[in-house]
Amino acid sequence: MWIIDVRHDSAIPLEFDGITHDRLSQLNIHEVSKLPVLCGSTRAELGEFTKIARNITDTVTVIRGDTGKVKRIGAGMKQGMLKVDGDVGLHAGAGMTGGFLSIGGNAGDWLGAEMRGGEIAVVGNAGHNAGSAYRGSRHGMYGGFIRVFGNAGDELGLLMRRGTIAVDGTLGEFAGASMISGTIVAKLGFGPRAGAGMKRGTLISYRPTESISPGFRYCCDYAPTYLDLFRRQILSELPDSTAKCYRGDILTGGRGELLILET
Amino acid sequence: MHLNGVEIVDTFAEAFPMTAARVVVTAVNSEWARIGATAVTGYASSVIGCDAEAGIERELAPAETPDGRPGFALLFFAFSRDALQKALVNRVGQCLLTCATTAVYNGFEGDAGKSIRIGGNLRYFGDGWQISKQIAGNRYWRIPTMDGEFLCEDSFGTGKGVAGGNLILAGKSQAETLAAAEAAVMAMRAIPGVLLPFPGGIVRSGSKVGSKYATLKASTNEAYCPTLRGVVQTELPEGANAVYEIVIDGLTLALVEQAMRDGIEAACRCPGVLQITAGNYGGKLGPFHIRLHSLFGGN
Repeated sequence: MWIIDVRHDSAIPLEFDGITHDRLSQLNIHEVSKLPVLCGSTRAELGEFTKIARNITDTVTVIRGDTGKVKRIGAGMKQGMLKVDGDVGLHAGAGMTGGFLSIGGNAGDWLGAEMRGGEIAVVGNAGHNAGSAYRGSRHGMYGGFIRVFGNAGDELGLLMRRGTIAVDGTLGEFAGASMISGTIVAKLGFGPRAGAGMKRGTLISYRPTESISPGFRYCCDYAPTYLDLFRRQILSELPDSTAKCYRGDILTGGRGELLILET
Repeated sequence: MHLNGVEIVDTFAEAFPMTAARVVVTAVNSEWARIGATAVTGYASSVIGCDAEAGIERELAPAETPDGRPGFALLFFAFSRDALQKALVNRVGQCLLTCATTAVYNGFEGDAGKSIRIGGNLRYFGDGWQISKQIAGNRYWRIPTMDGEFLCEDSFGTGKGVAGGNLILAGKSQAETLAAAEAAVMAMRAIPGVLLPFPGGIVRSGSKVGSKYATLKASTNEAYCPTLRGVVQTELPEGANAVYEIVIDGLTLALVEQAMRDGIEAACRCPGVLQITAGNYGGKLGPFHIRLHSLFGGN
């Protein structure tokens, strides 16, 4: 649909708030180039930093070029598909309610923070606080799916309320901390203090986790039927195996779970 | 009208709307899925005396079920959504929650805004330890049990189905009439969305409304009882010594009509069948009048 080529060789970040597929679909090229953006704290227009072209044969909006310092790409997106060919800055996909955001490189901190729906796929790594709540908020991610094929930083899914996060690489500290519900899948296992203070929710690890938080207690080995459903409908590569089930955090009721698959 | 020499009586089956739902039950293997399916659809032949009419629609291959395990599709019919919810919560709670390794899913999209809560009511059995999961827009409840967990979908779709389609087969002998009824049942059960709620799909105790005993809602239909032919106003054709009825519920009127047509054709291919007719209440009970001749293009 649109090809937005970012030309911004500067240390000052751009902020593309509201430059979403669903919004662009209702505008002509002139209106798109006039959309307000921030360069640092200065108000500017999208056309000042980008070369914009329309591709009427494609339904995907593509953002490429110097995207690594562009903040809030896809934030608040409601529908459609937005594809970024390179890295993205902070807050990509934050508050999304629908649609699909594809990131070809790495993502900065606060990826999909407080998102409520839709899907984000990151080919590279994600920074800290992906799917988390902003400071002072009561809930993090409230729905949707974040898929990170690389590593993710600290506080992944902090205060997460619903939805799924799956990470193929390593995780930082405090993944799923204070989690309220939802599911986090870690292919290479969780980092230190995962699930600390979690009230409910599910942490799934493909391999033994180095240090299980002290608030978790081993319960049993079993094959949750829920994982069969999860495998068929969300994550097809999830191993078909029994799981070691830990419950925690006992300081906050012990209603969360850590499932370590016996692969 | 005759089909393969069998008289098709110019009458109609009187059917009426009922609320329908489809439940998918899965288990670790097909044997346990069958045990669960059989238990939850037990004592559900007629709403005259049961809380619902229910039965197994068909067996499902693992590839057809939400969790990839063997399963069964079950159909349930009741007079209202409230009645259906009550029946299903009780039945799933007593027969599937208790059955080893089972999980229960909605199998019917149904009418918008007409869903009933099954898992959403059964979750309280978890006593606070139940876990809710939302997957692909549907909510599921994971209730801890002694063998792991019971997984049940929160809401089930319902729609207006049609109940009360029926055929009455009269034949020369009990064996021949039963064989014809069995052939009809086999043909009808091949149609998805159709339920034959009675044991083996066949009724031997066809009933009429009311009784000489004031407290009874229904009693034997003596007009079709061969042992009473000489002493009551009989409806039996000459030479008939046995009669079987097949009651048909379906998710749509078209499915019930198709089942009746296929059933008549299958029965008429069997030896010893003398007459096929249908039961009605003079048109006062239900809005759907399925004329037997119309099923074959007649007026």
